[in-house]
Amino acid sequence: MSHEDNLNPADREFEDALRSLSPKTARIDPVAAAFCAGERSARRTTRRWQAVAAVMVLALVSSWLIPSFDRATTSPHLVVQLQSPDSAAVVPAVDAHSVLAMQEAIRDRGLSGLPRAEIPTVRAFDAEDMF
Amino acid sequence: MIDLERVTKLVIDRAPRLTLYARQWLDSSSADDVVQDALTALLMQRTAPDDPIAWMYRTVRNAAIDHARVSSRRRKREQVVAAARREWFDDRPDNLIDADSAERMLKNLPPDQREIVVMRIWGELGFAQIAGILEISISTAHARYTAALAQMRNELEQPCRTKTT
Repeated sequence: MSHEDNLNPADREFEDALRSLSPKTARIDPVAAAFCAGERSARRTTRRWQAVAAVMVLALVSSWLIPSFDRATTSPHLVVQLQSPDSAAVVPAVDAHSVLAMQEAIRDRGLSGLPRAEIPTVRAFDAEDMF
Repeated sequence: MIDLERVTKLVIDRAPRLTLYARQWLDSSSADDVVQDALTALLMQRTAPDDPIAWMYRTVRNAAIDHARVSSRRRKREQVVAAARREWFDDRPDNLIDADSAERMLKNLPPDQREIVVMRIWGELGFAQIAGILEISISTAHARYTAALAQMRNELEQPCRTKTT
């Protein structure tokens, strides 16, 4: 036996008497309720988009700020160039008697610019030296 | 997707009963507002609840209790005025019981019994639905209901007490 019909006749009669009463009418406006529901739903959707946009802007700004912050906090790079003694940067001294040096000297200063010829000294020669 | 037209009609047909239910905690205009808000909330649901009427009763109950809690000070002041005013039922000649007496008897019931009587008699809900809304067992709902009927009948059968000087 279900609870629905588990009542004595007196209770049933009393139920019927109570049911004969009608609750007073309610002032419910279905159009206003539908309009309000639509407006709130639209506002909720808009807020969702606004939240997504805000998160994206935040991510963009933070992705821009973090590397520049790194740049600002780290010390500048100090470049030290070391040259080995046998480096190619060491230009060997050009011999003043080389063709190139002499060409440059004539171009700049004329014949007077030519270096003095290093003529070996003439050794004294004796006939005895030959025999 | 919720069938707006069907759900709205379902609620509007039962609006006076839902408002009567809310009036246990609130005055008439606040009860109307709570039912209106509950209907708005129902129309905002993406999917219709399995039992829209039980959903409405539960939503109205929660909102009415919250509303009553917030405005408890104002409510106490208004209760004095409301006590003298009968506003739950229409006075009609075909009523089998006097509307004022019925309202008075209902107001004398403990709140947990009264709301079951209102849901059962005027909301036409089954005990399973009532138990679901109140989150109690069906047996408890039924026991409270029969106890309430017994108290009301007892009160009705008592002879009117008149003051003798």
